Amino acid sequence: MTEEEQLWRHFTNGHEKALEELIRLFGKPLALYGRKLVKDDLLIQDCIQEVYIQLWQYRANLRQVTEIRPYLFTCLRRKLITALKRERLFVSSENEEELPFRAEFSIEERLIENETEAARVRLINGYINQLPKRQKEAIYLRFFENMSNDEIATVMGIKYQTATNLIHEALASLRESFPNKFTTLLLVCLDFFLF
Amino acid sequence: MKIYFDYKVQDYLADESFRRWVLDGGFRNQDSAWSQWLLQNPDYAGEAMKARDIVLATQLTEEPFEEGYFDTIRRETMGAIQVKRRFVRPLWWQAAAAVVLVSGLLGWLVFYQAPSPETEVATQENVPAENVPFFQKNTSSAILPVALPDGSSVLLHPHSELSYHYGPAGTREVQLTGKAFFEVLKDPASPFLVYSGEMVTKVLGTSFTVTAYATDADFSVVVKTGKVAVSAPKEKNEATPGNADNQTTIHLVSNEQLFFNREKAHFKRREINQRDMLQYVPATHYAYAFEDTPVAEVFRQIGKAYGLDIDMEESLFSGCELTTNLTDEPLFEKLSIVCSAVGPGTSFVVEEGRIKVLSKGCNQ
Repeated sequence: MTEEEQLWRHFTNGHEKALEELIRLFGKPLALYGRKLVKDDLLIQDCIQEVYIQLWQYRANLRQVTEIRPYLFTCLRRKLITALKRERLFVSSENEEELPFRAEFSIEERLIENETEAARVRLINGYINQLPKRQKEAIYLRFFENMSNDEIATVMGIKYQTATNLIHEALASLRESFPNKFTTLLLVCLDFFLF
Repeated sequence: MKIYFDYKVQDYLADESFRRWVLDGGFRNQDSAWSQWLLQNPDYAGEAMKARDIVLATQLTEEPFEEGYFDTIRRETMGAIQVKRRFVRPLWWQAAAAVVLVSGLLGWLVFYQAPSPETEVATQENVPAENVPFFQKNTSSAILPVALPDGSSVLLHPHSELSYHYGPAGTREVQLTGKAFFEVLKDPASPFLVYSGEMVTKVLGTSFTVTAYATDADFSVVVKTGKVAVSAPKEKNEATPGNADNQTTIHLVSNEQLFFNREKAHFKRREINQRDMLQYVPATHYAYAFEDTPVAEVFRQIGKAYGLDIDMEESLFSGCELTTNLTDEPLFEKLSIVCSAVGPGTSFVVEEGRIKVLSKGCNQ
């Protein structure tokens, strides 16, 4: 049994220490993810608490999970959607059903040393920020939260194939920003090592 | 190192060690493990370099969270489950608690909404859906405790009035003129909104006082626990009709006070010290731990904290002691918990502005 599986078992058996550990381990990733969905730290805070409290209440009926994080993310995502729907009064009138994804990716300037590279990275950055929001979300979960396509599907409430497609499409649309010839890249790459 | 021959762009991107190699600048150093591997396997460097560029192009800068943000999550979550835990104590208790809680809730609803007991069941079933209007006015010179249908508690000050209803999207909405201390029952799915003139105070579950008499030049909101958001239309010359941005929203946390100048539509926020605080909110503590405390004393302490007298026949509780923790539940929730703990024959009512505990005695 992995450490996570053990932690989860302790939790479902009603150990308060396990609940505290879940909060300590996953509070921040949850809050960071929540921020991509709503722009309201206080609402996120409340929803995270609710997620933990409800899981605790239903702990006896929870199934054994191998990966806790995607499970918690799913709960938070649902909570935020419900909260937003109820909250329409304070949301401007445009399409509330659609959850936004607010991540704005930036460029790691300090590691870029020449203009060719800067131009390429800028181009990629532009493409990434223009991706449809669900593709952005899948990318975020895949590369920033290291989730598998399976887990992404769970979190976003979509089919496995849909999740795979989202990632694939997102990366495919970046392809245009790369030079066609493989050799150019290789040269650039080897070039760097000489610095 | 693992074997990376099968790696495609997305496999590199998902690999922690690869991301670190990029972000720590390891790709500038040919001695690093990844650099070595790529030098020895140049056929695979193409995909890796694409992945490197993508990593460089997709940084996320996160604003820091407010101080104590995660500690609040831990504290409030652990606090909430302590409350829940009380509900699994002695055996006789479990069945009894359910009955008392339900009838207790029913009691409040009936008290404030339906004059005759015959309508009890109908009222209870219809409350959320049918949106029974709820109105309270305090014409006396004492503070009036008011139980709202959602389980929240209000201390309504003299010369103040409020109405309550469920909004179209399931929000809980209060219209207030005058001054009132709210303890809102936590429910993130259903925001609680207090409308006073052009000012709206929004919370999810917290305690605070709104002062908004019709003749006041400045309204005030004081937060005791939790956090609230206060909104009002922007200054008139800044506002453009039909634009949602016309609202200014200020977030307040505990021990803060917000003044809203109605004429200028201007907000001013300040920290409030404990002494000034007591002009606005009762001196309740965040948590109460009673250990083998006489029941009458428990009620007295709760009453004292809220500045209310609680009527009871003390002799009924002689020799009756209670061990329990209370946190920041609304007043009526606290009373309900204590009543349930005493026994199924104990409940409370509000009569002529006073809280009265009714009991058949301990464990009865």
